[in-house]
Amino acid sequence: MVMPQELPTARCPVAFDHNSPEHTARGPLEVYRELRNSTPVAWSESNGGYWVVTSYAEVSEVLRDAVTYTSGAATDDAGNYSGGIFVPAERGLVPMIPTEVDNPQWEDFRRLLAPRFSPTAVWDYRPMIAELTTHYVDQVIEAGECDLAVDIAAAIPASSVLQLLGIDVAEWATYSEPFHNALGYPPGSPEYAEAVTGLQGIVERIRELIARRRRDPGADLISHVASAEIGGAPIDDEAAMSVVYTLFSGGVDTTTTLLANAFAYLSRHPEAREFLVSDLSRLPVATEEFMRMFTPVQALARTVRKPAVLGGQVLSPGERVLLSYASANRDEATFPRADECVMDRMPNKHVSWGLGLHRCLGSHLARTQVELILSEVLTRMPDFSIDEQRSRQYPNLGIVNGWVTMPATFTPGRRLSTRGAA
Amino acid sequence: MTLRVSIDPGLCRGHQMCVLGSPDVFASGDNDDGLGEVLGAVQPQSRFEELRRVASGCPESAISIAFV
Repeated sequence: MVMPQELPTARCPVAFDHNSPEHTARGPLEVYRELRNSTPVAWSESNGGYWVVTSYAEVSEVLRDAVTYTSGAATDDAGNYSGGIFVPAERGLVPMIPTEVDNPQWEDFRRLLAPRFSPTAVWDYRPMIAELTTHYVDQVIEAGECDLAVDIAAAIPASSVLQLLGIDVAEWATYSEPFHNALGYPPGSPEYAEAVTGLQGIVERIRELIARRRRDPGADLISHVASAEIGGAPIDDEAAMSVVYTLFSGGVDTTTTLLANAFAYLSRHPEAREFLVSDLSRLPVATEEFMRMFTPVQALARTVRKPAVLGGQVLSPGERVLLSYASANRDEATFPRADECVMDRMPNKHVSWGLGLHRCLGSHLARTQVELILSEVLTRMPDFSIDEQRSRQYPNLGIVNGWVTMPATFTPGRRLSTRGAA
Repeated sequence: MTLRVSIDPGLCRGHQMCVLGSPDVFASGDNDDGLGEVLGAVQPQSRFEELRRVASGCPESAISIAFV
Protein backbone atom coordinates (compact mmCIF):
# COMPACT_ATOMS: atom_id res chain seq x y z
CA MET A 1 0.00 0.00 0.00
CA VAL A 2 1.17 3.52 -0.77
CA MET A 3 1.60 5.45 2.43
CA PRO A 4 0.71 9.13 2.73
CA GLN A 5 4.29 10.24 3.43
CA GLU A 6 5.31 8.90 0.00
CA LEU A 7 2.73 11.16 -1.63
CA PRO A 8 3.46 14.57 -0.13
CA THR A 9 2.07 16.50 -3.10
CA ALA A 10 -0.98 14.33 -3.67
CA ARG A 11 -2.88 16.24 -1.04
CA CYS A 12 -3.53 19.52 -2.79
CA PRO A 13 -5.59 21.37 -0.19
CA VAL A 14 -8.84 23.04 -1.17
CA ALA A 15 -10.21 26.16 0.50
CA PHE A 16 -13.20 24.77 2.38
CA ASP A 17 -14.67 25.27 5.82
CA HIS A 18 -18.29 24.28 6.35
CA ASN A 19 -18.35 26.30 9.59
CA SER A 20 -17.22 29.53 7.91
CA PRO A 21 -19.48 32.50 7.11
CA GLU A 22 -18.34 32.20 3.45
CA HIS A 23 -19.74 28.68 3.20
CA THR A 24 -23.22 29.87 4.16
CA ALA A 25 -22.94 33.15 2.22
CA ARG A 26 -21.93 31.45 -1.04
CA GLY A 27 -24.57 28.77 -0.59
CA PRO A 28 -23.54 25.28 0.55
CA LEU A 29 -24.95 23.64 -2.57
CA GLU A 30 -22.75 25.76 -4.83
CA VAL A 31 -19.67 25.11 -2.73
CA TYR A 32 -20.37 21.38 -2.76
CA ARG A 33 -21.13 21.28 -6.48
CA GLU A 34 -17.74 22.75 -7.24
CA LEU A 35 -15.94 20.26 -5.00
CA ARG A 36 -17.95 17.31 -6.29
CA ASN A 37 -17.07 18.16 -9.89
CA SER A 38 -13.37 18.76 -9.22
CA THR A 39 -12.19 16.94 -6.07
CA PRO A 40 -14.86 14.64 -4.61
CA VAL A 41 -12.47 13.58 -1.85
CA ALA A 42 -10.63 16.76 -0.90
CA TRP A 43 -8.30 17.83 1.90
CA SER A 44 -8.90 21.10 3.70
CA GLU A 45 -6.45 22.68 6.15
CA SER A 46 -9.30 24.33 8.08
CA ASN A 47 -10.46 23.07 11.48
CA GLY A 48 -7.12 21.38 12.11
CA GLY A 49 -7.20 19.59 8.75
CA TYR A 50 -9.92 17.28 7.46
CA TRP A 51 -11.16 15.45 4.42
CA VAL A 52 -14.41 16.50 2.82
CA VAL A 53 -16.27 13.90 0.76
CA THR A 54 -18.90 15.15 -1.69
CA SER A 55 -19.71 12.32 -4.14
CA TYR A 56 -22.54 9.85 -3.55
CA ALA A 57 -20.36 6.78 -4.16
CA GLU A 58 -17.70 7.78 -1.65
CA VAL A 59 -20.09 9.12 0.99
CA SER A 60 -22.00 5.84 0.95
CA GLU A 61 -18.77 3.82 0.93
CA VAL A 62 -17.64 5.50 4.16
CA LEU A 63 -21.04 5.26 5.84
CA ARG A 64 -21.24 1.53 5.18
CA ASP A 65 -17.79 0.81 6.53
CA ALA A 66 -17.92 1.42 10.28
CA VAL A 67 -14.77 -0.67 10.72
CA THR A 68 -12.49 1.59 8.69
CA TYR A 69 -14.31 4.80 9.60
CA THR A 70 -15.37 5.18 13.21
CA SER A 71 -18.00 7.44 14.77
CA GLY A 72 -16.40 6.88 18.15
CA ALA A 73 -15.60 9.77 20.44
CA ALA A 74 -13.25 10.01 23.38
CA THR A 75 -12.49 12.50 26.13
CA ASP A 76 -8.91 12.59 27.41
CA ASP A 77 -7.78 13.30 30.99
CA ALA A 78 -7.60 17.02 30.26
CA GLY A 79 -11.24 16.95 29.17
CA ASN A 80 -10.46 17.39 25.45
CA TYR A 81 -13.04 15.85 23.20
CA SER A 82 -11.93 14.02 20.05
CA GLY A 83 -13.53 12.01 17.27
CA GLY A 84 -17.31 11.89 17.13
CA ILE A 85 -19.57 13.19 14.38
CA PHE A 86 -18.59 16.85 14.25
CA VAL A 87 -15.70 18.79 12.73
CA PRO A 88 -14.12 20.29 14.73
CA ALA A 89 -14.65 17.70 17.46
CA GLU A 90 -15.33 20.47 20.00
CA ARG A 91 -18.63 21.21 18.27
CA GLY A 92 -19.82 18.00 19.84
CA LEU A 93 -20.61 19.47 23.23
CA VAL A 94 -21.83 16.30 24.92
CA PRO A 95 -20.87 12.74 23.92
CA MET A 96 -23.73 11.14 22.01
CA ILE A 97 -24.80 7.53 22.51
CA PRO A 98 -25.40 5.44 20.40
CA THR A 99 -24.42 7.89 17.64
CA GLU A 100 -20.80 8.11 18.75
CA VAL A 101 -20.12 4.55 19.81
CA ASP A 102 -19.19 1.62 17.63
CA ASN A 103 -19.48 -2.07 18.26
CA PRO A 104 -19.51 -3.98 20.48
CA GLN A 105 -21.21 -1.32 22.67
CA TRP A 106 -23.40 0.06 19.86
CA GLU A 107 -25.35 -3.19 19.63
CA ASP A 108 -26.43 -2.99 23.30
CA PHE A 109 -27.68 0.58 22.99
CA ARG A 110 -29.42 -0.01 19.70
CA ARG A 111 -31.18 -3.04 21.17
CA LEU A 112 -32.30 -0.88 24.08
CA LEU A 113 -33.75 1.88 21.89
CA ALA A 114 -34.90 0.25 18.64
CA PRO A 115 -38.09 -1.30 20.10
CA ARG A 116 -39.27 2.20 21.07
CA PHE A 117 -38.71 3.56 17.54
CA SER A 118 -39.79 0.60 15.40
CA PRO A 119 -42.59 1.07 12.85
CA THR A 120 -44.88 -0.91 15.16
CA ALA A 121 -44.05 1.25 18.19
CA VAL A 122 -44.41 4.45 16.19
CA TRP A 123 -47.84 3.36 15.00
CA ASP A 124 -48.99 3.57 18.61
CA TYR A 125 -47.67 7.15 18.88
CA ARG A 126 -49.82 8.38 15.99
CA PRO A 127 -52.83 9.47 18.09
CA MET A 128 -50.53 11.41 20.44
CA ILE A 129 -48.76 13.16 17.56
CA ALA A 130 -52.08 13.86 15.82
CA GLU A 131 -53.51 15.38 18.99
CA LEU A 132 -50.48 17.61 19.51
CA THR A 133 -50.64 18.65 15.86
CA THR A 134 -54.30 19.64 16.13
CA HIS A 135 -53.54 21.47 19.35
CA TYR A 136 -50.72 23.58 17.93
CA VAL A 137 -52.60 24.34 14.71
CA ASP A 138 -55.56 25.38 16.90
CA GLN A 139 -53.32 27.96 18.61
CA VAL A 140 -52.86 29.87 15.35
CA ILE A 141 -55.79 28.90 13.14
CA GLU A 142 -58.12 31.74 14.16
CA ALA A 143 -55.45 34.42 13.75
CA GLY A 144 -54.68 33.55 10.15
CA GLU A 145 -51.00 34.11 10.77
CA CYS A 146 -48.16 32.33 12.52
CA ASP A 147 -44.47 31.59 12.41
CA LEU A 148 -44.39 28.28 10.54
CA ALA A 149 -40.77 27.60 11.57
CA VAL A 150 -41.50 28.07 15.27
CA ASP A 151 -45.22 27.54 15.98
CA ILE A 152 -45.55 24.44 13.79
CA ALA A 153 -42.21 23.04 12.56
CA ALA A 154 -40.42 23.44 15.90
CA ALA A 155 -43.28 23.12 18.40
CA ILE A 156 -44.87 19.86 17.29
CA PRO A 157 -41.83 17.56 16.84
CA ALA A 158 -40.24 18.89 20.06
CA SER A 159 -43.48 18.43 21.99
CA SER A 160 -43.96 14.88 20.78
CA VAL A 161 -40.40 14.01 21.76
CA LEU A 162 -40.99 15.52 25.23
CA GLN A 163 -44.20 13.52 25.51
CA LEU A 164 -42.31 10.30 24.76
CA LEU A 165 -39.66 11.22 27.32
CA GLY A 166 -42.29 11.97 29.94
CA ILE A 167 -41.63 15.72 30.20
CA ASP A 168 -44.29 18.45 30.23
CA VAL A 169 -44.79 19.47 26.59
CA ALA A 170 -45.35 23.09 27.64
CA GLU A 171 -41.58 23.24 28.16
CA TRP A 172 -40.80 22.45 24.52
CA ALA A 173 -39.13 25.77 23.75
CA THR A 174 -36.85 25.61 26.79
CA TYR A 175 -35.56 22.29 25.58
CA SER A 176 -35.40 22.85 21.85
CA GLU A 177 -34.04 26.40 21.54
CA PRO A 178 -30.49 25.65 22.76
CA PHE A 179 -30.25 22.79 20.24
CA HIS A 180 -31.44 25.02 17.38
CA ASN A 181 -29.07 27.83 18.29
CA ALA A 182 -26.01 25.68 18.98
CA LEU A 183 -26.27 24.35 15.43
CA GLY A 184 -27.68 27.43 13.73
CA TYR A 185 -25.28 30.07 15.00
CA PRO A 186 -21.51 30.09 14.49
CA PRO A 187 -19.16 29.49 17.43
CA GLY A 188 -18.08 32.86 18.77
CA SER A 189 -21.51 34.47 18.38
CA PRO A 190 -23.47 35.51 21.51
CA GLU A 191 -26.34 33.22 20.45
CA TYR A 192 -23.96 30.27 20.31
CA ALA A 193 -22.51 31.07 23.74
CA GLU A 194 -26.01 31.31 25.17
CA ALA A 195 -26.97 28.05 23.51
CA VAL A 196 -23.99 26.25 25.04
CA THR A 197 -25.04 27.49 28.49
CA GLY A 198 -28.58 26.33 27.70
CA LEU A 199 -27.34 22.87 26.69
CA GLN A 200 -25.37 22.59 29.93
CA GLY A 201 -28.60 23.37 31.75
CA ILE A 202 -30.39 20.67 29.78
CA VAL A 203 -27.67 18.17 30.67
CA GLU A 204 -28.22 18.98 34.35
CA ARG A 205 -31.98 18.60 34.01
CA ILE A 206 -31.55 15.27 32.24
CA ARG A 207 -29.34 14.07 35.12
CA GLU A 208 -32.03 15.06 37.63
CA LEU A 209 -34.76 13.41 35.58
CA ILE A 210 -32.78 10.17 35.35
CA ALA A 211 -32.23 10.12 39.11
CA ARG A 212 -35.91 10.80 39.72
CA ARG A 213 -37.11 8.11 37.27
CA ARG A 214 -34.75 5.59 38.81
CA ARG A 215 -36.58 6.09 42.09
CA ASP A 216 -40.01 6.33 40.54
CA PRO A 217 -40.09 4.77 37.10
CA GLY A 218 -42.91 5.24 34.61
CA ALA A 219 -43.66 4.02 31.09
CA ASP A 220 -41.72 6.90 29.51
CA LEU A 221 -38.47 6.68 27.55
CA ILE A 222 -36.29 8.23 30.26
CA SER A 223 -37.40 5.52 32.70
CA HIS A 224 -36.72 2.92 30.01
CA VAL A 225 -33.17 4.22 29.54
CA ALA A 226 -32.53 4.72 33.27
CA SER A 227 -33.42 1.10 34.05
CA ALA A 228 -31.41 -0.39 31.18
CA GLU A 229 -28.72 -3.00 31.40
CA ILE A 230 -25.68 -2.53 29.21
CA GLY A 231 -23.13 -5.32 28.91
CA GLY A 232 -24.84 -7.17 31.77
CA ALA A 233 -24.60 -4.27 34.25
CA PRO A 234 -26.97 -1.41 35.05
CA ILE A 235 -26.40 1.57 32.75
CA ASP A 236 -24.17 4.20 34.37
CA ASP A 237 -25.40 7.74 34.96
CA GLU A 238 -23.29 9.40 32.30
CA ALA A 239 -24.25 6.90 29.61
CA ALA A 240 -27.94 7.28 30.48
CA MET A 241 -27.61 11.06 30.30
CA SER A 242 -25.85 10.79 26.96
CA VAL A 243 -28.55 8.54 25.49
CA VAL A 244 -31.34 10.89 26.56
CA TYR A 245 -29.40 13.93 25.32
CA THR A 246 -28.98 12.21 21.96
CA LEU A 247 -32.71 11.51 21.74
CA PHE A 248 -33.38 15.21 22.27
CA SER A 249 -30.73 16.24 19.84
CA GLY A 250 -31.99 13.89 17.15
CA GLY A 251 -35.61 14.76 17.77
CA VAL A 252 -35.78 18.52 17.99
CA ASP A 253 -33.79 19.95 15.10
CA THR A 254 -34.08 17.49 12.25
CA THR A 255 -37.80 17.00 11.68
CA THR A 256 -38.20 20.71 12.34
CA THR A 257 -35.77 21.58 9.57
CA LEU A 258 -37.40 19.25 7.08
CA LEU A 259 -40.85 20.69 7.79
CA ALA A 260 -39.71 24.31 7.53
CA ASN A 261 -38.04 23.66 4.19
CA ALA A 262 -41.13 21.83 2.95
CA PHE A 263 -43.31 24.81 3.94
CA ALA A 264 -41.00 27.20 2.08
CA TYR A 265 -40.97 25.02 -1.01
CA LEU A 266 -44.75 24.52 -1.06
CA SER A 267 -45.35 28.24 -0.55
CA ARG A 268 -43.17 28.98 -3.56
CA HIS A 269 -44.49 26.17 -5.79
CA PRO A 270 -48.29 26.17 -6.00
CA GLU A 271 -48.30 23.26 -8.45
CA ALA A 272 -46.40 21.09 -5.95
CA ARG A 273 -48.81 22.11 -3.21
CA GLU A 274 -51.79 21.29 -5.40
CA PHE A 275 -50.22 17.92 -6.23
CA LEU A 276 -50.22 17.06 -2.51
CA VAL A 277 -53.50 18.72 -1.51
CA SER A 278 -55.37 16.84 -4.21
CA ASP A 279 -54.09 13.50 -2.90
CA LEU A 280 -52.53 13.41 0.56
CA SER A 281 -51.49 9.78 0.07
CA ARG A 282 -48.64 11.23 -2.00
CA LEU A 283 -47.04 12.64 1.16
CA PRO A 284 -44.75 9.71 2.08
CA VAL A 285 -43.04 9.61 -1.31
CA ALA A 286 -42.85 13.41 -1.48
CA THR A 287 -41.36 13.49 2.03
CA GLU A 288 -38.43 11.40 0.87
CA GLU A 289 -37.84 13.86 -1.96
CA PHE A 290 -37.94 16.76 0.50
CA MET A 291 -35.41 14.82 2.58
CA ARG A 292 -33.14 14.55 -0.47
CA MET A 293 -33.59 18.12 -1.66
CA PHE A 294 -33.25 19.88 1.69
CA THR A 295 -31.00 17.43 3.58
CA PRO A 296 -31.75 18.58 7.17
CA VAL A 297 -28.39 17.37 8.46
CA GLN A 298 -25.98 18.66 5.83
CA ALA A 299 -22.79 16.91 6.84
CA LEU A 300 -21.40 14.76 9.66
CA ALA A 301 -18.00 13.28 10.30
CA ARG A 302 -16.10 10.06 10.91
CA THR A 303 -12.53 9.38 11.97
CA VAL A 304 -10.23 7.13 9.96
CA ARG A 305 -9.35 4.05 12.02
CA LYS A 306 -7.34 2.04 9.49
CA PRO A 307 -5.27 3.15 6.49
CA ALA A 308 -7.67 3.57 3.61
CA VAL A 309 -7.92 4.62 -0.01
CA LEU A 310 -11.02 6.60 -0.88
CA GLY A 311 -11.70 8.11 -4.28
CA GLY A 312 -8.02 7.74 -5.17
CA GLN A 313 -6.83 9.55 -2.02
CA VAL A 314 -4.84 7.95 0.76
CA LEU A 315 -6.35 8.45 4.21
CA SER A 316 -4.42 7.87 7.43
CA PRO A 317 -5.61 6.73 10.85
CA GLY A 318 -6.70 9.59 13.06
CA GLU A 319 -7.70 11.88 10.19
CA ARG A 320 -11.17 13.37 10.22
CA VAL A 321 -13.57 12.88 7.31
CA LEU A 322 -16.59 15.12 6.75
CA LEU A 323 -19.34 13.45 4.72
CA SER A 324 -21.54 15.88 2.87
CA TYR A 325 -24.97 14.29 2.70
CA ALA A 326 -26.23 17.47 1.04
CA SER A 327 -23.75 17.01 -1.79
CA ALA A 328 -24.26 13.25 -2.17
CA ASN A 329 -27.99 13.92 -2.51
CA ARG A 330 -27.38 16.20 -5.49
CA ASP A 331 -24.92 13.92 -7.27
CA GLU A 332 -26.09 13.68 -10.90
CA ALA A 333 -24.35 10.33 -11.23
CA THR A 334 -26.94 8.88 -8.85
CA PHE A 335 -29.97 11.17 -9.19
CA PRO A 336 -31.25 12.21 -12.62
CA ARG A 337 -32.42 15.87 -12.57
CA ALA A 338 -30.70 16.09 -9.19
CA ASP A 339 -31.48 19.78 -8.62
CA GLU A 340 -35.17 19.37 -9.36
CA CYS A 341 -37.71 18.54 -6.70
CA VAL A 342 -39.49 15.60 -8.34
CA MET A 343 -42.43 15.07 -6.01
CA ASP A 344 -43.01 11.45 -7.05
CA ARG A 345 -39.34 10.50 -7.38
CA MET A 346 -38.96 6.78 -6.93
CA PRO A 347 -36.52 5.16 -6.45
CA ASN A 348 -34.89 7.71 -4.19
CA LYS A 349 -31.85 6.41 -2.36
CA HIS A 350 -30.89 9.67 -0.65
CA VAL A 351 -28.53 9.58 2.31
CA SER A 352 -30.35 12.04 4.58
CA TRP A 353 -31.11 9.33 7.13
CA GLY A 354 -27.53 8.14 6.92
CA LEU A 355 -26.68 4.62 5.81
CA GLY A 356 -25.34 1.49 7.47
CA LEU A 357 -24.82 0.97 11.19
CA HIS A 358 -25.68 4.47 12.39
CA ARG A 359 -28.68 5.07 10.17
CA CYS A 360 -31.24 7.35 11.87
CA LEU A 361 -32.96 5.53 14.73
CA GLY A 362 -35.89 7.94 14.66
CA SER A 363 -36.66 7.80 10.94
CA HIS A 364 -40.00 6.03 11.37
CA LEU A 365 -41.04 8.54 14.02
CA ALA A 366 -39.88 11.47 11.89
CA ARG A 367 -41.78 10.23 8.83
CA THR A 368 -44.93 9.86 10.88
CA GLN A 369 -44.55 13.36 12.31
CA VAL A 370 -43.98 14.88 8.88
CA GLU A 371 -46.93 13.02 7.38
CA LEU A 372 -49.36 14.01 10.14
CA ILE A 373 -48.18 17.62 10.36
CA LEU A 374 -48.08 18.27 6.62
CA SER A 375 -51.48 16.70 6.10
CA GLU A 376 -53.01 18.80 8.90
CA VAL A 377 -51.46 22.01 7.57
CA LEU A 378 -52.44 21.24 3.97
CA THR A 379 -55.98 20.47 5.11
CA ARG A 380 -56.58 23.31 7.56
CA MET A 381 -54.42 26.10 6.12
CA PRO A 382 -53.91 25.01 2.51
CA ASP A 383 -53.38 28.56 1.20
CA PHE A 384 -50.55 29.50 3.59
CA SER A 385 -48.14 31.98 2.15
CA ILE A 386 -44.77 32.72 3.71
CA ASP A 387 -43.40 36.23 4.10
CA GLU A 388 -40.20 35.96 2.06
CA GLN A 389 -38.87 39.31 3.31
CA ARG A 390 -39.06 38.38 6.96
CA SER A 391 -38.20 34.67 6.74
CA ARG A 392 -34.64 33.86 7.79
CA GLN A 393 -32.50 30.75 7.56
CA TYR A 394 -29.92 29.79 10.16
CA PRO A 395 -26.92 32.13 9.99
CA ASN A 396 -24.76 29.01 9.83
CA LEU A 397 -25.91 26.32 7.38
CA GLY A 398 -22.79 24.17 7.72
CA ILE A 399 -24.41 21.46 9.81
CA VAL A 400 -28.18 21.94 9.78
CA ASN A 401 -30.17 23.49 6.94
CA GLY A 402 -32.56 25.19 9.34
CA TRP A 403 -34.80 28.24 9.62
CA VAL A 404 -34.90 30.77 12.44
CA THR A 405 -38.24 32.28 11.50
CA MET A 406 -40.85 31.92 8.77
CA PRO A 407 -43.82 34.29 9.22
CA ALA A 408 -46.83 33.19 7.19
CA THR A 409 -50.45 34.15 6.59
CA PHE A 410 -53.42 32.00 5.62
CA THR A 411 -57.23 32.08 5.61
CA PRO A 412 -58.32 31.80 9.26
CA GLY A 413 -60.26 28.72 10.32
CA ARG A 414 -61.98 27.26 13.35
CA ARG A 415 -60.38 25.49 16.27
CA LEU A 416 -61.01 21.74 16.36
CA SER A 417 -59.86 20.69 19.78
CA THR A 418 -61.67 21.29 23.02
CA ARG A 419 -58.44 20.90 24.96
CA GLY A 420 -57.18 24.04 26.72
CA ALA A 421 -53.88 25.77 26.13
CA ALA A 422 -50.83 23.62 26.88
CA MET B 1 -39.23 -17.96 -16.10
CA THR B 2 -40.20 -16.12 -12.96
CA LEU B 3 -38.43 -13.70 -10.66
CA ARG B 4 -37.29 -14.49 -7.16
CA VAL B 5 -36.98 -11.44 -4.92
CA SER B 6 -34.92 -11.42 -1.73
CA ILE B 7 -33.60 -9.01 0.90
CA ASP B 8 -30.22 -9.58 2.51
CA PRO B 9 -31.00 -9.13 6.24
CA GLY B 10 -27.34 -8.41 6.90
CA LEU B 11 -27.45 -5.35 4.65
CA CYS B 12 -31.00 -4.05 5.17
CA ARG B 13 -31.16 -1.13 7.61
CA GLY B 14 -34.89 -0.44 7.41
CA HIS B 15 -34.99 2.52 5.01
CA GLN B 16 -38.28 1.10 3.65
CA MET B 17 -37.83 2.62 0.23
CA CYS B 18 -38.83 -0.75 -1.24
CA VAL B 19 -42.08 -0.64 0.75
CA LEU B 20 -42.84 2.74 -0.82
CA GLY B 21 -41.87 1.46 -4.28
CA SER B 22 -43.74 -1.87 -4.47
CA PRO B 23 -45.96 -2.22 -1.40
CA ASP B 24 -47.49 -5.50 -2.56
CA VAL B 25 -44.04 -7.13 -2.77
CA PHE B 26 -42.25 -5.56 0.23
CA ALA B 27 -43.44 -4.76 3.73
CA SER B 28 -42.01 -3.46 6.94
CA GLY B 29 -41.23 -6.64 8.85
CA ASP B 30 -42.30 -7.27 12.40
CA ASN B 31 -38.92 -6.34 13.88
CA ASP B 32 -37.46 -3.50 15.90
CA ASP B 33 -35.35 -1.93 13.18
CA GLY B 34 -38.12 -1.84 10.59
CA LEU B 35 -36.18 -4.20 8.36
CA GLY B 36 -37.91 -5.09 5.12
CA GLU B 37 -39.73 -8.31 4.50
CA VAL B 38 -40.58 -9.90 1.15
CA LEU B 39 -44.30 -10.61 0.88
CA GLY B 40 -44.23 -12.17 -2.54
CA ALA B 41 -40.88 -13.75 -3.25
CA VAL B 42 -41.98 -15.14 -6.60
CA GLN B 43 -43.06 -12.57 -9.16
CA PRO B 44 -43.86 -12.72 -12.87
CA GLN B 45 -41.16 -11.73 -15.31
CA SER B 46 -43.39 -8.88 -16.48
CA ARG B 47 -42.52 -7.01 -13.31
CA PHE B 48 -38.77 -7.17 -13.89
CA GLU B 49 -38.34 -3.52 -14.87
CA GLU B 50 -40.35 -2.24 -11.89
CA LEU B 51 -38.59 -4.50 -9.38
CA ARG B 52 -35.18 -3.78 -10.86
CA ARG B 53 -35.83 -0.10 -10.28
CA VAL B 54 -36.88 -0.71 -6.69
CA ALA B 55 -33.82 -2.89 -6.10
CA SER B 56 -31.51 -0.27 -7.58
CA GLY B 57 -33.15 2.29 -5.31
CA CYS B 58 -32.29 0.43 -2.13
CA PRO B 59 -29.82 2.70 -0.30
CA GLU B 60 -28.03 -0.32 1.15
CA SER B 61 -28.12 -2.43 -2.05
CA ALA B 62 -29.78 -5.16 -0.01
CA ILE B 63 -32.30 -6.39 -2.62
CA SER B 64 -31.58 -9.13 -5.14
CA ILE B 65 -33.67 -10.31 -8.05
CA ALA B 66 -32.95 -13.67 -9.65
CA PHE B 67 -34.47 -15.38 -12.66
CA VAL B 68 -35.58 -18.87 -11.72
